[in-house]
Amino acid sequence: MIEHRDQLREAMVAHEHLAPEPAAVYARVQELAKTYRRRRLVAQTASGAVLGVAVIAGAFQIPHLVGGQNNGGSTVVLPAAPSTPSAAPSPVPAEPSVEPSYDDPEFTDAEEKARNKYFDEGYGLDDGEKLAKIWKTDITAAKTRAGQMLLDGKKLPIKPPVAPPGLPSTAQEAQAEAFFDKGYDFDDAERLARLWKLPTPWDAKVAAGKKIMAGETLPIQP
Amino acid sequence: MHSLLPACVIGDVTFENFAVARLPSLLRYAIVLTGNRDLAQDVVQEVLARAQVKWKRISEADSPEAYVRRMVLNEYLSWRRSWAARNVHAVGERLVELDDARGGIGDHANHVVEADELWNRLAVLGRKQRAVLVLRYYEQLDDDQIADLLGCSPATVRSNASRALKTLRLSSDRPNRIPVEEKS
Repeated sequence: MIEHRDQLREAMVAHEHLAPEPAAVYARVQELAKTYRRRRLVAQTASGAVLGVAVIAGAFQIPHLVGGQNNGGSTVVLPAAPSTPSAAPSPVPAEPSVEPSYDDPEFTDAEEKARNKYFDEGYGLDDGEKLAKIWKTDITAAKTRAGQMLLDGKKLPIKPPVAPPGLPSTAQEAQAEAFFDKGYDFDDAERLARLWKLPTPWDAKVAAGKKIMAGETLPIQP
Repeated sequence: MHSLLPACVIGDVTFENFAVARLPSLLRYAIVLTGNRDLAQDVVQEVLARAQVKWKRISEADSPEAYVRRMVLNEYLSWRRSWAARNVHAVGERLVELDDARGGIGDHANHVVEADELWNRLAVLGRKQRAVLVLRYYEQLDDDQIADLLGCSPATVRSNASRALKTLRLSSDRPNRIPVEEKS
């Protein structure tokens, strides 16, 4: 057990360096927040926002200038942000005084539907940036507009995303998830693969998940 | 410099102060949680943009950081967008290559390869199972805390963890070495 903990923790910590650049993310956060504010009609002082971005971006760059750590050239480590254990999740109270809420009216139902369509089709942030440049809008608006176009059966002015070969489709992932949610595990997938003469446990998970989602029962119990 | 920053000032903690101090840590948490740089960026961006808009409310939480980390977790778990196109490990980012570039050899290299393999295998887990492992081993929370975060019972946490470890071939009745050929 201790060995698992060490192995997993080591694998996770060893890949922290893949995290995106804080300065770039912060700039996007400002852009998105601006959109959300506008949508929510929250009166908020806009003056100084640009300066804020510059100041924060500068702050993220300081470690570079003063010789701070740079793991693998990708993650800036600030003195105020110890690298591990990251969470120090100040013990989360059993009943936090404020609960996270996701029902904020940032998007209407139609917009949300359009955005989901956009992402479900495999488009991502980079595509949003390209579209925003073409349409001269912000990225959020571009994603929503693109999603609506996809819903309307129209083509976008950029190349459609190509799913890398060998990766499961969204539907297959949902089927595999249904398999696990029903209480089955990897051993069960192996058994089913043998039973159904499928080449891999993954194929069995997908086939089994499909049956589960169709309300059918499997030949083995979880 | 903080006096020049825009609004969002609540007590002693401004959103900007929070972001400067905690964004790198949030991004590390997100990359471990999602396993994908683009998705980690999208999740953190969405969460922080919302957080900035309602910073007054968040800053009144007992721990704004715990609150935002919880938002990141929820955002990841509720992400309804395409995983197929995102769940890609860029070849150039593989640890083994980074290690080669640094001239790593011998046991250390093997160690790195094993960590890299395990990281790639984490990608086959369902979101809940991966989240349980991240919360347990990376965030170092106990099962009661994880259950509270995920809104389930500690028994469900243990069950998810057990299934995840089995999938990763890390359960106690299995060898710890990870078979390279296993893909699902």
